[in-house]
Amino acid sequence: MLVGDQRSQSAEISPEKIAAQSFAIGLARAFGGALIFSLPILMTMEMWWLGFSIDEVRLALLLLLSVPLLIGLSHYMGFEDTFGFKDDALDAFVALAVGFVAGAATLSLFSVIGFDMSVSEIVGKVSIQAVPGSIGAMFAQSELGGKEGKKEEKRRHAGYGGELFIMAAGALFLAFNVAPTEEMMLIAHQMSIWHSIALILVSLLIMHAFVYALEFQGTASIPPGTPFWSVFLRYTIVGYAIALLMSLYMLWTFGRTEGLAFHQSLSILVVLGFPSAVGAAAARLIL
Amino acid sequence: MAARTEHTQKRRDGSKMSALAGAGSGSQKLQESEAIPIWEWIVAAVGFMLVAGVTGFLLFEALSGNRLPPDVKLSVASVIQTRNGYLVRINAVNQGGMTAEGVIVEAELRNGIEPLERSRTTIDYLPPRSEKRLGLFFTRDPGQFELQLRSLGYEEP
Repeated sequence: MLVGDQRSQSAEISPEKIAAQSFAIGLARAFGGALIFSLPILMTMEMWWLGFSIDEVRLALLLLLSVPLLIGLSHYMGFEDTFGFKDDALDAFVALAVGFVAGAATLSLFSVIGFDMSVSEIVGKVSIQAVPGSIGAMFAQSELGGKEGKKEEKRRHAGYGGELFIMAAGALFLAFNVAPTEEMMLIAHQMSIWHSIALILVSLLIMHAFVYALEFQGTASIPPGTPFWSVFLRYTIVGYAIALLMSLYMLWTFGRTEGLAFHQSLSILVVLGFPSAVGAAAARLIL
Repeated sequence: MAARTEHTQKRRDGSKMSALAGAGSGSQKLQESEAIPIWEWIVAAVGFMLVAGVTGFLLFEALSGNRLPPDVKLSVASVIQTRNGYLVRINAVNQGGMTAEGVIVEAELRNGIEPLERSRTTIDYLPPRSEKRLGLFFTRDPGQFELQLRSLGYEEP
C-alpha cells in the first residue's frame, strides 16, 4: 500500500517519475489517515502522561509487535496477489515513519512536547502515539484510498486465520483509544456485577450482528446454509475472546490494572472488551 | 490507482514467470527494483531506524536508567512585583528516576524564625529530568524576608 507504483507505457513521462509521484500521493494519504485515526488519542491527556509513566519494556514490546501487525494489515488490505513479504514490510515501516512524524508534529504543535523536556519524556510521548498513528496510516489505504472498483480489487481472500487476525487488529485499535482514559476505570467502578453481565451479552450480540451483516453482504467466508451455532461459535465467541485478549494486553501495557483486586480488573476488562468487540467485528466489515 | 490493476496484473504474470523460470532471475529482479521508487525505500528506512532506535533507547533506559524515587529540586527563578502583590517564579526539576504525580510545592516567607506567609501549589506530573515552571503569590515582598521552598509529597502515577 501507500504506493501506487504505476507504470506507464508512454515515452514522455518516465516510469520512475510516475512511481515517485504516486508514492508521494500515497504518503500524503497516509498522513491523512494517521491524523484522522489518531487525533482523538493525540488529544487525550492520559496518553501524554503514559508517555513518561509507562514501563519502558512494555512500550518497547508494543512498538516491536506493531511491526508484524502492520505487515499483516498490509498483507490483508493489499491488492490481490500483492507483491509479497518485501512490499508488506516496506509498507509497514513507511506507515511507522508516518506515525512517528505525524505524532511528533501534532504533539509539538499542541506544546505537549517541547525543548524543556527530557529526551525520554519526548520519546515516550511520541512513540506511544506512533503505534495508533501507523495503524491509521495503514487503514487510510483501505478507506481513503481513491478510485472505484477498489473494493473488488483489494479484498484479498483471508482464510479463517486471516479473519481472526483482522479482528485482533480492529480490537487492538479501538482498545488503544479507550484503555488509557480515566473514564474507562470510572465506568467499571460504577457498574454492578449485573451491569457487567449485561455488557458481555450486549458485546456478543453486537458482534454477532456484525457477523450476520457480513454474511448478508456476501463477503464473509461462511458458506450459505451454515448453522447458527457454528457461525456463533467460530466467529462471535472466538472474536469476543480475541477482543478480551487484546483488551488485556492493552491494560497490561498501560499498567492499568496494577494493584487492583481481581474482580475489579475483570470488570475493567469487560468494559474495555466492549469497544474492542465492536472494533473486532467492524474491522472485518471495513477492511 | 487506475494503472495499478494493470501493474498488478503485470506483477502477477511476473511472479508466475519467475515461478516457472525459478526465482530470482535477472529480469525479474530488474522489474522489482524498478517498481519501487527510491523514496519509498528511504521513508521505510526512516521508519525502520525510528522503531529500532526508539526500541533500543527504551530498553537501554529500562536496563541502565536510574530507578531512584522522585527527587524534586526547587529554585527561585525570579521575583516579580505585580499589581496585586508579588509573584515568585519557581523552577522544579525532578532529579530522580521516576515520575511524581501531584507534587505539592510550598514556599514560606519568614522573618527570622517567625513565619509570615505561606503559599502552595500542585504540579500535576513531574517526569524524571523534566522541568516545570510554577508561580506562587505573596502579599509581602519576598526580597525583604527569607524565602524557603520545599516539596511536601507526591503520588506514584
